[in-house]
Amino acid sequence: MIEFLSVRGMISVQDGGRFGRQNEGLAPGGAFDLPSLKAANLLAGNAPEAAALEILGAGLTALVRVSLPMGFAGHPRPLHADGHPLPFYTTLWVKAGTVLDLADGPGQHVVWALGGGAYAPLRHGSRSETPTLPQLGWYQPKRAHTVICTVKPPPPRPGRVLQLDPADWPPFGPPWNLRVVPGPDWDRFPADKTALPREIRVAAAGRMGIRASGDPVYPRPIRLGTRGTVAGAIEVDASGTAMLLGPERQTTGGYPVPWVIVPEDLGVLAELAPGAVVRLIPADGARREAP
Amino acid sequence: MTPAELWAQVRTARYGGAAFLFEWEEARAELTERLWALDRRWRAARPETIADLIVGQNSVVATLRGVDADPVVRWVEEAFLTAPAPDRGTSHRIAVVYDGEDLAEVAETLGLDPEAVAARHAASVFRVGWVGFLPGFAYLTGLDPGLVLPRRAAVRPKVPAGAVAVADAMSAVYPLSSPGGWHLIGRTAKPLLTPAGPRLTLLEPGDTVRFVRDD
Repeated sequence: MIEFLSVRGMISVQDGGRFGRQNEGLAPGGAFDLPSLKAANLLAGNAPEAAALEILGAGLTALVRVSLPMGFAGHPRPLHADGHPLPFYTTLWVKAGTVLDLADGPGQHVVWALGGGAYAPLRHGSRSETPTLPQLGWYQPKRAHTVICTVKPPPPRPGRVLQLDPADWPPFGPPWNLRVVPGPDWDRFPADKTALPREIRVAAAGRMGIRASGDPVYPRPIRLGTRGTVAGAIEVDASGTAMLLGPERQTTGGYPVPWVIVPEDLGVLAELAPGAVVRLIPADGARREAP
Repeated sequence: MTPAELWAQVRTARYGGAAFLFEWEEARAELTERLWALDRRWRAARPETIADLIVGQNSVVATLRGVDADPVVRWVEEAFLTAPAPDRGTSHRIAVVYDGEDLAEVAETLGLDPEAVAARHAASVFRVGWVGFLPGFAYLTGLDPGLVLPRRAAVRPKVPAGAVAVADAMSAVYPLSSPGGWHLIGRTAKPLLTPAGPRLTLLEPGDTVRFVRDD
């Protein structure tokens, strides 16, 4: 059990996601970056897709109320226990009464796994507090004195201590590169694919996705029927604005999709903040166009 | 057209690394019925190979649980060809007070009086085309052709939950308060979304919906 003393970013409980309800208008949600969730859970001794705390943006201070193993993954940033530095990507056994402080940066995204799993009510097969829409009531706002219990009691003494190599993760850029494959509407775009965006500047970022700013990239509307969306789809609307869809995307959309981000690179979206510049790189096997 | 003839016209495309898109050139009644049947089969069968199956206007997206694509394509084809049509689906009656913020403007744009807009909307028999945008937001097809008009020029930042709205050739009820670009003609107290209940959403593709005047 932990208790927040100060919350400075957006914190939600996330697991592997709630699948099977997108046809009811509910996006799967789940961790923004699945490899980071799995890494943090591995460190804490949990199942790979157990529920953990996802921190977006600035950090937090928390009191550990029950001794437990834990792990921090995502973009490493300064972490202290009663003033002593602690590492990311290592199993940590933290005693009751310790005050943890996670700095506000660098980077945008951290996953904090608690041994036993972070508790949020199990809803339709998942503990993800998704959608975070306040109107739905599934997201509990995290503020000072919010307590997070564990799903199962944490082990009474330290188990295996693991160390992972964060180099396996996509690089904590910049430069931000996203590998893309042609999407279902690739052939609907004009033969001159140079009109499509190669670089996207982030205007807004969140669990719904990333909205691009800058010059319109394809200002001619293509009429499509409404269809289901997938994580990583890059939609280009009639004004030419690109939208990179995240875990909490709208479940249907009507804009053409020239590209889709490869699943392995989806976690990069969690690290993007307004102003970041993202390069789209055709993945191996994708059709390449002359520059 | 028979299901087999429709299937012969499908465009199948890989949708990124973890999904397939099955899409047809245009929406038509026989296709819509097949999509509803497919959706129902999916809800009942939940094959392990498919994480999500999303019915759209003239498409289906299936997301893969594993890496093997063949079983997913085979399952979708088999269900599309053989699943029984949902007949009329579940019939819902939704009580509406026609006092929406945009009712007067809608009436004026259409050259009708507000009473006629309400009467025509309440006389339409809707079918749920598909669900999307928000949890439980059902796109209702079958709007009286005399009530068709494009979406509002500007999106309203906050549409209240329960607002009954029209846009294009469709109607909808906002299950939650949210931004929205549809024309608000009324409101209902009927919950379309039960976040705490075992059954999350009320309306499924293929269901029949009638609005009943409550004003």
